[in-house]
Amino acid sequence: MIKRLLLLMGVAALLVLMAGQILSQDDPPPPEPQEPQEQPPPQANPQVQGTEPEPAAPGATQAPEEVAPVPETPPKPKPEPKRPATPQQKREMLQAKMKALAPKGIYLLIDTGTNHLYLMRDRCVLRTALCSTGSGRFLPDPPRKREWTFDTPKGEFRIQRKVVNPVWIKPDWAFIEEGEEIPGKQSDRLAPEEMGDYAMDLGDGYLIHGTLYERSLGMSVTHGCVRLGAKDLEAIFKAVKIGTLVYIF
Amino acid sequence: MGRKGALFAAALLGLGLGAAATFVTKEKPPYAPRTGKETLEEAIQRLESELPLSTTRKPYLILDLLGSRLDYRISGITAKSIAFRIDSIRKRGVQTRPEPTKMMILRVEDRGAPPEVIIPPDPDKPVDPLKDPKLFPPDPPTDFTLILDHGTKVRFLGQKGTGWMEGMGRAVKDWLPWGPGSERMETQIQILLPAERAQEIYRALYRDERVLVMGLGDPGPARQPIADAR
Repeated sequence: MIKRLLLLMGVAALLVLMAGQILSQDDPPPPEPQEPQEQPPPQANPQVQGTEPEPAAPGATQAPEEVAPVPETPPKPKPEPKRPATPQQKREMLQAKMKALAPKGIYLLIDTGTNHLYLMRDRCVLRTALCSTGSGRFLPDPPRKREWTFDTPKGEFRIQRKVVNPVWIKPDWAFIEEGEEIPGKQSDRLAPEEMGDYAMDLGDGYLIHGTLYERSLGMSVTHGCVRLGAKDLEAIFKAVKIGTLVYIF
Repeated sequence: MGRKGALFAAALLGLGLGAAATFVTKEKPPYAPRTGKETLEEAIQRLESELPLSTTRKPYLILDLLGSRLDYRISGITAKSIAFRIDSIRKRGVQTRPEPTKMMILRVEDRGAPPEVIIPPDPDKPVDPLKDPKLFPPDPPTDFTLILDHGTKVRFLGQKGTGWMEGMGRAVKDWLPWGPGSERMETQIQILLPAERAQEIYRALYRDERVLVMGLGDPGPARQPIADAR
């Protein structure tokens, strides 16, 4: 009895398996993933465009008098799926972005911490010069409610102007700092020797120029400008152009 | 030896044993700079954090606590790099260690000392040119604390010579109840470096400078300014 029962169950299981296989053959095969291909440009729809339909070719079967079905507009090409970048690719991409920001060719690097100026080409130092940068000192002018902090600004600048034999027009703070009266006449403010033989303008009143006090080179003593010794000043002046990048840090 | 002498000797012995026990049991912070290169994950994280700073065209600092160095970066280039030793890192008063893949961007709020105010000279009293601060400015400090936002302080301790005397003094200060750990700032970092390097850092700092701190993350909440508080 048990044997028969087992035999019946076996036959039933076999039948179920066979039926399943037949059913699965009827199903269409699953579509294979395809790479999106470039689609041909969509054809102009004559009806939409309003042009007359072409006459039927001789021998061709006459279309029924019903309105011809509007051909479907071809599907838009699918955008290529973005493959996620590998970590290696991501790092390279970020490094490339960073590299693109870096200066190329001739530029100046000014270190306000050590008071050094470097003439650079790409990553090579062409010349090192001792300079003076801003003292960071603070000058108040209470009667006129003004104040100044003598810092060299930090950041990226460009040489905007090159001047030979510059003449310093002393601003008010130069007199206040010395405890002197502020002159009314422009001619009393002129100091022709003070800036040396050359000046390179960085904008906003900040310049790279020479000095009468070469002994204080290497120290933070200026009112924000960058001072250089006469020889270095000449060499730097000749090496840079208007538009040359200057990085102050 | 009298009774007083014996007591004094016992007290000295006790102090010595206490100091020795503290020295032995104290956890040595693993602050040695790592020797290998940063991992791929760390490099991506650093570059992602750094890229927005590079595009500002302003210099910024990378305080790398894992590599024990301070990098001056601007527009994608490293302008300068200064090596240092980490003396201690405390988070909410508890000693901690730098962890790879952790980083945060902070902003310089203050460098601890106000700028020197210029006092115009008296026209009747001529200034000695050798003492004129316009020509010969005073040396910047060798020991200063940089105050960053999110309750973070970085103390730069410039050392002259071997610095063992200063080290001893600092160790004593650390034990005191009003020592550096007592303030319970969010994060306190103390770093050691040659005195000239500390002065160099001090000179070049500017307010609002950005600092990418590598090795520490999760900055505390920013301190909110409250107006009209009484």
